[in-house]
Amino acid sequence: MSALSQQRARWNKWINRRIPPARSVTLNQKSLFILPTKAGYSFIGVAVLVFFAGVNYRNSLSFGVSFFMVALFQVALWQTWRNLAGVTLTARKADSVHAGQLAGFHISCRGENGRAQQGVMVGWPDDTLPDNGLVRIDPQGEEVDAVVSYPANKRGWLALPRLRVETVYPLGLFRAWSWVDLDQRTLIWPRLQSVEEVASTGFGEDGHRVVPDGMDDFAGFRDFTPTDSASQVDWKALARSDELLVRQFHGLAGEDVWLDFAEAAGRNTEEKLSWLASQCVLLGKGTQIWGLRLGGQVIPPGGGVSHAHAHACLDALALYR
Amino acid sequence: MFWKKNKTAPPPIPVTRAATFSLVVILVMVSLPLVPLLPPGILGLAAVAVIWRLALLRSRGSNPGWMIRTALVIAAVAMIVLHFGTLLGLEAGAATLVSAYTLKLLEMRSRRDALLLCFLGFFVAVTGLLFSQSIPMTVYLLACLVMLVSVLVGLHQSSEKTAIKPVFKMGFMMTLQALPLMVILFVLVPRIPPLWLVPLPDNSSKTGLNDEMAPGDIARLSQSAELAFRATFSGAVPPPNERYWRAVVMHWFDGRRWYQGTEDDWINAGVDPNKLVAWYSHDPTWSVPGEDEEDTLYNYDIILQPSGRPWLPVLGFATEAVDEAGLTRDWRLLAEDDVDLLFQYRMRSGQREGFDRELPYWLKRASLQLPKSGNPRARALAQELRERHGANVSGFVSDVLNRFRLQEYFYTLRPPLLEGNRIDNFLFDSKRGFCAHYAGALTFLLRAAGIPARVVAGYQGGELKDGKIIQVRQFDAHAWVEFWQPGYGWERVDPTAAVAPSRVVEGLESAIAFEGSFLEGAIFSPVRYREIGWINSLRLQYESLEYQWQRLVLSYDENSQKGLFNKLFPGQDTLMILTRLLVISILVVMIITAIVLVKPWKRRAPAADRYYLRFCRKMAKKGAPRLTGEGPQEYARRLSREKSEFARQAMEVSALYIRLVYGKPGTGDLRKLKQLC
Repeated sequence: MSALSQQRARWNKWINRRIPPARSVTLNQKSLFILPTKAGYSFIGVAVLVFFAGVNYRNSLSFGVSFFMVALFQVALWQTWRNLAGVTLTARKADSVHAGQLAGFHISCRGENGRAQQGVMVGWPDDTLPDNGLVRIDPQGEEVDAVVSYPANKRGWLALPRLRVETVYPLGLFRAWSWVDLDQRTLIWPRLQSVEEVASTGFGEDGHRVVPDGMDDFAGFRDFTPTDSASQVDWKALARSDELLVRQFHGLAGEDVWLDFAEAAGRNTEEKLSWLASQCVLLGKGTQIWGLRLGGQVIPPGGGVSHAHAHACLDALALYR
Repeated sequence: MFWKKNKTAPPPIPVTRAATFSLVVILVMVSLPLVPLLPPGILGLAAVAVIWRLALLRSRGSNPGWMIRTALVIAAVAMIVLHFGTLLGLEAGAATLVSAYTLKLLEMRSRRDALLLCFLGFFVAVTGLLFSQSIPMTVYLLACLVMLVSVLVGLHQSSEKTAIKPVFKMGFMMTLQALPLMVILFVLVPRIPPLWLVPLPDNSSKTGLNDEMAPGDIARLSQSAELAFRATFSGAVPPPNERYWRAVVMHWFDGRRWYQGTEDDWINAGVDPNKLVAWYSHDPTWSVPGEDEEDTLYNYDIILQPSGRPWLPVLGFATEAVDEAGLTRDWRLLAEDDVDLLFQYRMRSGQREGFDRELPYWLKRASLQLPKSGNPRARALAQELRERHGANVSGFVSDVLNRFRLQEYFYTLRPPLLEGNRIDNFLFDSKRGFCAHYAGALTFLLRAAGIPARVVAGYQGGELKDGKIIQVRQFDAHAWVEFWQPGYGWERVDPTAAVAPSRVVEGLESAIAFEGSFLEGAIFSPVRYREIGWINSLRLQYESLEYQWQRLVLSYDENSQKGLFNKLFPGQDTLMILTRLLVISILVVMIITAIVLVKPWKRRAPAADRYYLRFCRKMAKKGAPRLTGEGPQEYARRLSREKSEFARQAMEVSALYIRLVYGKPGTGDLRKLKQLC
């Protein structure tokens, strides 16, 4: 192990003990750090200059101003600390996205009762963006929702890294911060690429649209959803397996599209998965019925406006090993 | 975690409109005390910059390009150099600072610029203090500080919030919270003497004593009620007719004016100028008379207002120098530099006699110097008196004083203009004048008769307050005469006392009450209305406040600090004591601030937690306590199995609690939980 990664491991161990991962974290003296900002150091620099003006001019009030600045610095320390202490961050839902996109994590931030806490910045610092790329939250004693986004690089589970929470309010002389682990993760789908739709059979030769969940052709079973009519339920299957299954029919005849990993375009697994994912997205926008064969895993044909089928396929692709 | 590692600078954070506006306000506020010093061109420039900025705020016009900005900078520098001849003096520096401040405001784009402007604001406020530290100025300074802190708060406010009141409240609160530590630091931080020389405020144009006296000069001073100095006596206080504060001695007369003489004048007269002053800690080369039992000596502290001159007024003859000053050959106290800041010194002097029983030849010659010709009638009068009194110098002087007293001489601040043989004109024709005329004429007569004499200028009188403080104002400026007798030395005589005794005993105001010329140019001076009871009592109260302010706050330097802590902790090293006290009190203040701000007694658990714990305690009493590590949901399930009568309640409570703490609580949830628990 290199020295750097060793150090990182030690840091992770230390911070995990100090601020353990949790769905909801309330910031307190144990989890808060505070140091002067650059502006804070400049402020003290000005105070020192004013002090020397007082010395050389024997000017009592200049001493006064200099000491006022030092005293204000001290007040700023406490006020900045207090602006973050007691703030509770809670993990909400997290959106799945494709690799290469920004994953949005929904969190909520509740200020301590009776404190006008504001200027709480949350996110992952990026010094090329204004405000370091952090999201500003002004809880002011209430609960405020926010979405922080994190760039997804790889398909699969993305565990949210420790989240930076900081504030420089009220004077900008100090920065209080913390790194919280909200124990949040989201599934990242394979990267998108531009593809042409395979075997476009969306319109039959007779020009009829293929309607999923139609009544003409039996197409297979799918899970029951509350909107399904009782006549579609396969009661025999229920008797066999305790499962509520719905017999699916397609509207018009037409060949179902099968996306198969074995036939996917691409030089390696990732490229193939990416191609498949892009096809899923493309098909999901249309009315086509399609299924997915992923090695041993088979997702029966489906489709529709609810995107549930597309998401199921994408999830399978994301987790493919 | 830092997935983008390119080194482009982040785009600037814009400054909100409210913050920009308040930055304009703060600029005007902190620059206001400096306005009298600024060249008109710089004021114009600042006005242009401010108006431009305000126009930008109203979305009119566009930001100045670099050409315009460069042109403005060049214009500012040119105007300052033209006006002051330099960029380096204190006044020029202040003008430079104000110009830089306004131009920076004009080109401000980002929050960083705004922060810089705030910090500059602190500095400009301090620059104003170098020119005045009065009480009104201090109050104004505090207002500026509150404003500066509020602007700092406003800069970090969300751009959607435009309410000004909470920002000011925060600024005001933080200012208040900073004051205790400020006071502690002010008292305890060890003061050090000046480290290097700095350009000091230019007081040369200030109204004050002058080192030359042509009729007209001291009348100008009589129009100023400005404070000259305050003397605090410990022990006896001199009666009014003994309050002669010596400051300047004028040996030279050119027929028109009396003057102190430059170094060159003395060198031309064959005198080594180094023999004229003995600087502090060096003993004078001339002998100083020892103390006599008959001498009345007064102990006093003087706080001298900045005068732009080096003369330190002393009651009677000075016999010892103080730090940063010297003793002159004519028994005065002279500061090493012009007094441009408040100057405090302690003296012991008074009615001592017997100075220069032996007069050195060169000093005698200087005290007899007169132009070769001119004023023949006065010379003839001197000759006549000399013949009448012979060696009896006192007889000579009282004869002249009687002449002033008995003949038609008048004391007035509005004398006729004199031309040609001024002494003759005054003595024999106009016979109207003030102290300068009488002192000049008497000295001339004495010298013409071969008696060494000189004109002394300083202050006479002063207002006694609280029985121990004498407050001397510019209109107390006065001139009198010292003449020398062999075997006795110098003796003071005030010819003005002969013609207007009330000037010496009661002050200028009563001496000229008949002509109404007292402070006629200063209608707003409260001193002018001393007759009106309530104005006068207000003035007196304000003056004693100002006196305490000067004595306790403004003159608090390394010496008074040492004095104070030597008194409090006798026999211990001051620096050591200060360091210890400083550390202790900073710790105490930090702890108190922490407690007040964090309010640990208010750090109760959130309401939902409290209600839930109350519920758990209730259940524990019923025999089903919550196990360690058992989540609310598990606990509720277990309760519904074990205590079925509470099943419904337990399920509802845990659902509400989970929603309140982890989920999206509804409006009535907390109340419902409270009822259930």
